[in-house]
Amino acid sequence: MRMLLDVGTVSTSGVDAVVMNVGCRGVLERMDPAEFERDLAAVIDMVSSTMKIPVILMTPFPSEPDPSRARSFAAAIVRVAVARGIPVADVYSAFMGSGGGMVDLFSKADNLELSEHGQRFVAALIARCLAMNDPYGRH
Amino acid sequence: MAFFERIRFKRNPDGARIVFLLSALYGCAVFATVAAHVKNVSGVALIYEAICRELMNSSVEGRQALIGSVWWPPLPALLRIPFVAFPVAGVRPFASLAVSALLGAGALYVFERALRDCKLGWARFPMVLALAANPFFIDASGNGTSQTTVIFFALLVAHSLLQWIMFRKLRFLAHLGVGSALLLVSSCEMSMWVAVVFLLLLTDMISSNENREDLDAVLILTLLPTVYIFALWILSNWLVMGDALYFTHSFVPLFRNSVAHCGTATRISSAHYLTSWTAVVALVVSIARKNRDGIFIGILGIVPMLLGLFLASRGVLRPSSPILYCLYPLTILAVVYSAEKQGPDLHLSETGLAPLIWPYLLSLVPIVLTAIMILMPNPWGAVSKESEEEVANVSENHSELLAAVGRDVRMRSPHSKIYICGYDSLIMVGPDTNSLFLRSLDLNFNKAKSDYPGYALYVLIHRPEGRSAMESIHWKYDGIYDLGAPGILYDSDYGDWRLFEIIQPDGIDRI
Repeated sequence: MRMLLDVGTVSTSGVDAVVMNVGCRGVLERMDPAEFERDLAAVIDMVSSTMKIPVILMTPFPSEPDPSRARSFAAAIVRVAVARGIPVADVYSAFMGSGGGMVDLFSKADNLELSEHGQRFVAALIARCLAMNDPYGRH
Repeated sequence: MAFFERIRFKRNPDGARIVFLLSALYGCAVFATVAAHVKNVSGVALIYEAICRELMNSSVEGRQALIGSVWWPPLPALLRIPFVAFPVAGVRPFASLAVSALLGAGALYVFERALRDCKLGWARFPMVLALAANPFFIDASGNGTSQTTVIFFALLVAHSLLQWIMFRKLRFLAHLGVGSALLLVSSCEMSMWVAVVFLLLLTDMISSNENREDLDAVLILTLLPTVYIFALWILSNWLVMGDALYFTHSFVPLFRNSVAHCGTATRISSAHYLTSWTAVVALVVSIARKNRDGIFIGILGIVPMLLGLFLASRGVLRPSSPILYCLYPLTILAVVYSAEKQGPDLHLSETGLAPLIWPYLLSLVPIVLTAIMILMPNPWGAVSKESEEEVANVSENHSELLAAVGRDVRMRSPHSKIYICGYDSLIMVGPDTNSLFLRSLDLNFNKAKSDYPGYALYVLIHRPEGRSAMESIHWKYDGIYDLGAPGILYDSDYGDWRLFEIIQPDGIDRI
């Protein structure tokens, strides 16, 4: 959370929207999901109030050996987003929904680094989220 | 025109005996087919019957199901209502089976009538018998789906169009108008076919140099029932669903790429191709002989195949699609009309064989077609019918699914609700709102949250495959099955079904 305390100093000129990829570290470090949710809510409120531009959240991608471990964090992110009306690029659901195809989304056996295909997939999810929630209301 | 001139048959005992014999044979065949379907019940039949029960219970889901999708048109459900009130023990989808058999008999009658008007004499009976013995027709008559309803109205419309063109009797125009309207609310797949019928009628009127007043009158008489029924459908959607064009939204997935992965192009079997090629040959003969009636019915015989190919390319054609079942009778009519004495080259009735033998030679066409289909190892094509959802033992499969989902969800929270999306939900769960499972034909996540505050809410969605791709959940939330949707989170897979959790803002994580 230390880095996010500096969020007020980030320049937003020329920026259309902020895409926040959160929760991945929490999954790996086995952080308490409830604590993560509290922190996330505080950070989101701060970002929304200081940056004055639309925010999009990303759920963490599931990783081996226990892909479902990311679920608690994904649920916390969606819950925070739903409460504040923030759009979510649901990477967790899309990866889990791909079933056997999830293997192609990672470049290494440890399932921590996305392959090129995986990166394109995530980019497409963010683009879909942007299309569904045009920050300027151009639906 | 003399060949096709209207004739009046005197009642004679021999004819009555043959009709009785044919009826008895048809009844036996239908009984045998029904007996074969009693254990492997058609899913379509069960769903239509469930809609009827919901309507009789005045439930919201019943009204939504009746009018909410072009893929589940209202007429087949409405036809079943009188029979639902009188269930027969041991025959579960009795209403569906009864309607199938009765409309099958009706289709045979219209077919026989059309052939009789062609002055085929006794030769029409082998043709009717060939239709009755056709594996597709006999299956349609006993499987409880709405295929025979569509065949009945398609034959009525085709016959009325040809009779109107030939004799200009107002009665046929009325049949044409009402038949087209009822066909439209029997099968959305045939709507394009109905459009072609209207186009042919217009072509005929213009080419016949009818005066403007007559043309107006014909178009009004023909189109009025269709416009009226369509307007009624729109009005009911506005009143029940809150969106006048709600039912048309289920067309949207047809033009999305996301449906293409469910491709079922191989499901058009060689039997259908064989029938269609016969119609093409009949059309070519009619064109060569400048036989306008033959050309018209030839076009009507080919259009269902073109529609079938289009639907197959979009992955939403099922082997039980009514348009494929219409191919055979329309093709036979095309063959018969292609031999009409109008062309300059071929005057069959004036040859040495005419007029006694050639109708019997003509009747060989449907007999041979039917014989080939009977002898085919699998006339339904590459996909075996047993693997199709509509003939699977639906109830048992669903019971296992619900037991597994219910067990997993209850382990997390005893206060849960699971919305099952789509028409399948009507046969999977009952109307009890206190149950763990709830039916939903028009799910709104926010409404679900407000209806059950504090509950752990889930939604169970079928893979967008075949007609499931047209369910409202898939066009309301595009890509929901593969990518999720705002406010929900992937939970788990159960075969072709996927469970998502509806995330509540004030909820707690249960994992």
